[in-house]
Amino acid sequence: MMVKNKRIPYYFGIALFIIEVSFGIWMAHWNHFVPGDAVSRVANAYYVLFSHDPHLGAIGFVWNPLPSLLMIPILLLTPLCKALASEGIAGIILTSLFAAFTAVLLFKSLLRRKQPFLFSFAIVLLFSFNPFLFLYGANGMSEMLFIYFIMFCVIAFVDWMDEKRSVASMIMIGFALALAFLTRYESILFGAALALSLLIIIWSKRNKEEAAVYGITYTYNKWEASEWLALLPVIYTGIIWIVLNWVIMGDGLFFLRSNYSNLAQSEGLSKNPTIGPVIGHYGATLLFVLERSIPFLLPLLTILMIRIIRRRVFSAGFLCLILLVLSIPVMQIYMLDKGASYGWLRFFVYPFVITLAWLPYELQKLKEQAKHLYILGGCVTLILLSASAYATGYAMNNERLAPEEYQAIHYNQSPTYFSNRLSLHIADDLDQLLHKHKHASLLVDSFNGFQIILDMKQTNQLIITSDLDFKKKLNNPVKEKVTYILIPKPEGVATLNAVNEHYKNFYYKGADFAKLDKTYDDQWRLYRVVNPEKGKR
Amino acid sequence: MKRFGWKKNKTLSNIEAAVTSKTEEIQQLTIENEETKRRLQLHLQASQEEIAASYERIEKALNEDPQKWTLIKQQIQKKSDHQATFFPHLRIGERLLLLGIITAKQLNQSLKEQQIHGGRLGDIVVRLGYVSADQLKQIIDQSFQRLLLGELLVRSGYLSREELDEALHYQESVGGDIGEILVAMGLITPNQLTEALASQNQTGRLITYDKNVVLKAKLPETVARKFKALVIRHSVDQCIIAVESLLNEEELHRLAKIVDAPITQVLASPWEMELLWDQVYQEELLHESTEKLKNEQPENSASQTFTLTQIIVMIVIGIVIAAALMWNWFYTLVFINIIIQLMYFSMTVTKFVMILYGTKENAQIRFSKQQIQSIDERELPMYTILVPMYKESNVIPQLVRNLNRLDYPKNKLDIRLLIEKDDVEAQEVIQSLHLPYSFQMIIIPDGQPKTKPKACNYGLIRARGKYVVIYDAEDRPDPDQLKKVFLAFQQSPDNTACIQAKLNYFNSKQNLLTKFFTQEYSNWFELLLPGIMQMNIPIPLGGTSNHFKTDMLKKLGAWDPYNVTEDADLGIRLYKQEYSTRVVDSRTLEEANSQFRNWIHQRSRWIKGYMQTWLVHMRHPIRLHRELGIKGFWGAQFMLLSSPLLPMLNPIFWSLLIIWYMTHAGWIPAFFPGIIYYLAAVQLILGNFLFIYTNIAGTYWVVHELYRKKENWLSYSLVRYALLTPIYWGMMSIASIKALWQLIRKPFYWEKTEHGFDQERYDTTKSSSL
Amino acid sequence: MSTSLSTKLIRKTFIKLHSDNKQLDLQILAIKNELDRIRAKYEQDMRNLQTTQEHLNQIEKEIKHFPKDGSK
Repeated sequence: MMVKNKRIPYYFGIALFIIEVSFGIWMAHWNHFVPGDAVSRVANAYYVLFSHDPHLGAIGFVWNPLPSLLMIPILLLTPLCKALASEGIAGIILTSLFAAFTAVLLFKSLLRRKQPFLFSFAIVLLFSFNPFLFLYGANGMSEMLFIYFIMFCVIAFVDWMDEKRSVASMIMIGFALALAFLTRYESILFGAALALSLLIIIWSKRNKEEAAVYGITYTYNKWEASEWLALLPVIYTGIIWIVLNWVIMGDGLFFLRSNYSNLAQSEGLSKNPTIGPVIGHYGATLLFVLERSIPFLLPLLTILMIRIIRRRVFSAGFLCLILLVLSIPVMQIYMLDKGASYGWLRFFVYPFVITLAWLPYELQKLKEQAKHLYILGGCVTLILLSASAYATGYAMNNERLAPEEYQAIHYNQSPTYFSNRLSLHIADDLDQLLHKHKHASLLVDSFNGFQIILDMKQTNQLIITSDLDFKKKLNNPVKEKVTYILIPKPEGVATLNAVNEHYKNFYYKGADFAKLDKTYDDQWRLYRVVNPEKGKR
Repeated sequence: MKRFGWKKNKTLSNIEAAVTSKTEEIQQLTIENEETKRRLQLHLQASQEEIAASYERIEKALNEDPQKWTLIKQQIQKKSDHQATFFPHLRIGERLLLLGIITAKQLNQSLKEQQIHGGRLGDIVVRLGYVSADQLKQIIDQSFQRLLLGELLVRSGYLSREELDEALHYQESVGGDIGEILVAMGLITPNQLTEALASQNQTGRLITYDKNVVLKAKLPETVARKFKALVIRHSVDQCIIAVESLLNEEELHRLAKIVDAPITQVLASPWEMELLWDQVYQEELLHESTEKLKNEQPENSASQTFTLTQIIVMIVIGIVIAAALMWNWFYTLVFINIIIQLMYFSMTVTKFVMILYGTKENAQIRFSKQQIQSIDERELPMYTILVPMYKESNVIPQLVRNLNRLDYPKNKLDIRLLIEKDDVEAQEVIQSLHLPYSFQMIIIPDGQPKTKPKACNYGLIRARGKYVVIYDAEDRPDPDQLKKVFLAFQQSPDNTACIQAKLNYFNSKQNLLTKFFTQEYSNWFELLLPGIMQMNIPIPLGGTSNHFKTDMLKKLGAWDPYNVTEDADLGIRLYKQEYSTRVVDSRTLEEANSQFRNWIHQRSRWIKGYMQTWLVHMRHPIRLHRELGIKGFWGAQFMLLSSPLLPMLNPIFWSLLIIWYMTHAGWIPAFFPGIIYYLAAVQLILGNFLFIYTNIAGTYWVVHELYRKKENWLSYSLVRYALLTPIYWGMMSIASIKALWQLIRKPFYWEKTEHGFDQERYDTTKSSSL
Repeated sequence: MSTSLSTKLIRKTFIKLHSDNKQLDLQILAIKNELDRIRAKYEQDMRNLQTTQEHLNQIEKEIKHFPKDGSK
């Protein structure tokens, strides 16, 4: 029985992977719904392999590179199956994989902490099939990867705190944090909270055991050494990221400052009906955050209850948990207040993950210390997890609270759905065009055009943003023999399109060197480049 | 300038004064010595004369009363089973005198003879023709009974009964020979022991010998070693041999056939035997310790650095490369670069995997305190400790203290201090220290090569221990190390020939260099080495604290005296013979090199040795592959090549990187085509970081483990200096280039490491920073 | 020129004296060791001789007091 139990988490992981992938493919292929960000990440990886000048730098320096990086091996199969790229399925496979990893990790952690098998299984089910986690395990976004790394960090931290495999745990924290940084920038605040937690634990341990034996310098040295061990990988990763930005893009903080960065994208926020009123009002911001966090904070009540039973509410460990849980929401509060965040629901999910990663430890302690109350604790856990799942589902179906998820649920009314169908149409049309003119080339900014690029077959005739000569060709399309230019209507983020930025009003009026060739649904226009000199003669 | 000169003059004159006064002192002392010697000689002579006179008096007294004499004779001849009231324990000479078989004059003559030539008094009187051999035998048979050794010693007045009881008590718990225990406890001297043994066994005792006679009569060394016997005097009618323990009838018979004369044995103490052996067979021992491996396994000896084939192969490779360069220098360089990059990459990965293995709990053999305590000391075997040293007499007192701290029965220790012949200072220091008898000074005769492995070989030949270990003079082994190794050998498979203890440094706080060095050793011995053992590939042993089974080590041919990293070489040879090595969780603390120049010397010697070892074993790559198997072969390649090659290649790539950023010269990226570019980039970005990070993690690991054991001679503050590891790499590059240069110039030159600069001050085990 | 020559000379002398000094220290140690060895050897020999002497004295005494009749 025991041996069997050891393998079951892996079987469950495989099953979950299959379910998530099937769901993701169903959404992408039959329902034509994949979030834009997810496809964009696939596209970044795609450029590395299949643009007319393959190089790793094409992965782009705006978004954290890890998700795209991990997709590259999957995309190697694109020649066999076009949909991997065009429908963003590579991303879906990746997130499903990480959803499975996360479930296995949690499952194993529960069993390692001596929780009954069925109980552990129930918790894992309530975690993995929480509507939010299930959706994000199948939609190719970066969240699922981040969730995995965060969970890894927290479990390692708890192990360290509990003095199990202490050095190995620190090393694991180090690498997981670095990988998290390569996935999402939220890791910075989370990392800071973790660093602070290390200090708290070391200090409280000193007060408990060491103060009599060792001097303050000793504890300081120990703390410093521990921080180096846990933080060096992420610090180094940060430095390398900045250096790469500097070396390749000429600006160390390119990822913050570029046209396409999150910051730039959120500039139009003040006009947003949901976010606009919140900016600059702390009370409103708090309410905004709280409203979206409630479903994800419910499981924290379990731990609070266990702590009360164990009479350990005011302890260093609990303080650390609170710090970790609050770290990312605090960052959101700040950014919302400054008008720098869209406040999507997905930004608030992390307390849920952190709490669940912490839960096995608490349950084990409860089992050891108060056996008679353990069953009660277990029941409350399951009830709260179910409540959380329900509340999450409720929030996701509310357009105001969760616009993205609402779209996913009501995919056939979503703009994404329509734009995807349009992209497919444009790609088809362009393929025919380029196929006819073998020597023609088409310039398009992949920032907006990624979906079209992914859908196309004649990709080697494209000139895209990551190409090393993109700038040159954009500045002088005539001389550089560009045949066509594809450009989106300058609305919303599309105003940041390189062509729109470089040639004002190009969409509406064209230029002396470009003649309108075709308009697609009043969303995209294709211009043909002509030699103005020739025309005059 | 003037003042400076004056100051210098003053110190100069100070020294001059010291020299003069010391010269005078020496004269004075020499005279005093002569004086004392003469005076004492006179005392002894007077005493001897008095004894002679006593004999005369006794004879006279007997002659005066013949009736009484007859009665006395009867009394003596009466074989007494119970304690005789009169004349208890008469010696042979006295007995003969009282029986009237020899006269006092004859007795005194015989005693004088004994004083000059040694041997047994009984034999002498027979030889001088005073008594016939049969008569003597009869007398001996009827009069002497065998006594227990301890009893004998008490009766001779060397030992009090209480002391004997104490020693017997100790023997019960520790086991072993009572004589050796008494010596180890300092209750009797080895001379007294031998004397007692001689009288117990009714044989002679080695008193004096004539060196020239001994040299003339010497047996072939192999015979001598087989019988553990040395011929002291050899004439037609008899052959006197000195032995440590008596030969049995059969051995005597065989030896007698060889020397073609009846044999008389005399006993000598182990120490005397050692000296004798040294005098008689020095040449043979020296020859064995330098040439044995070379003669028996020339393929494993580094006496020749490059074989002809290797030189030819190298020339051929050189020509091919040159030709390729001429054909197309660019492609050739790219090709070479690709090979180097792939090698570099695989080494990085391998090292990381090894460390992962090393973090396993069972990678080292661990024992609890209880396990150590529950050892039955009677089962502990003899243990030989070899301490080679050269010109480090200042650390000898420390060494003695550290070795005395070992928790091991002293009577089962055979500590051999290996001193080079020309290191007079060490010899004098050792003599003036009056070391316990478990310490023996072995003087290594002059001869090339003058290396540590040669000294060890020399010390090993006559090692008495079942196990043997090497310590450097400044080493501080954990007190329980020998016992842990004993347990480790017991619970390991039979083919385990070597147990390596972990090395670390006690002066990590001294300066940045010692910090780096400590980090390096911590990683190497705590993580990498156990990892390598887990993977079962050849191990380059650490320079000291490697414990061997003596017989296996001898069978293997011991150390290669021509190899400057004999330890790494031995690791490979162990693997060839399918012996295995393991790491025990016990530490030996050493002194880390604290001076840059010195460090470079030491490191370049190591790196040179690794290259040397590689060259030796790669004389026949195919055969090596067959001997080591695929895993062993590549493991050995990795172990031997990574330490010299990585630091040698590093500067090339670093300078390429710097040139690239300074000039953006187009030819640099051209050397890194396609995937190689990414490999190199991963190497640069990830590889370097991983090395630094493993250094941090390894150091933390060790410090943390100590912290959990409540030891704190290594500080957590060491961890932060791992961030500066690249500086250390730079230093290693310098050393490796120097090593390459030396390998070609003077392959056997032994760069000596100096120790004992400032031990007390920087010792973290003593002045802990609480 | 002359100053540098003289400093050179001084340094040479200095080094020589230094090594001489060390050598002498060693010699002194050697002589002292020698003395120690002589003493130790003497003591050992003397003890042996004394034991023998006492033993002989004992025998002499016993001869003197040996009962003439041979009975106990």
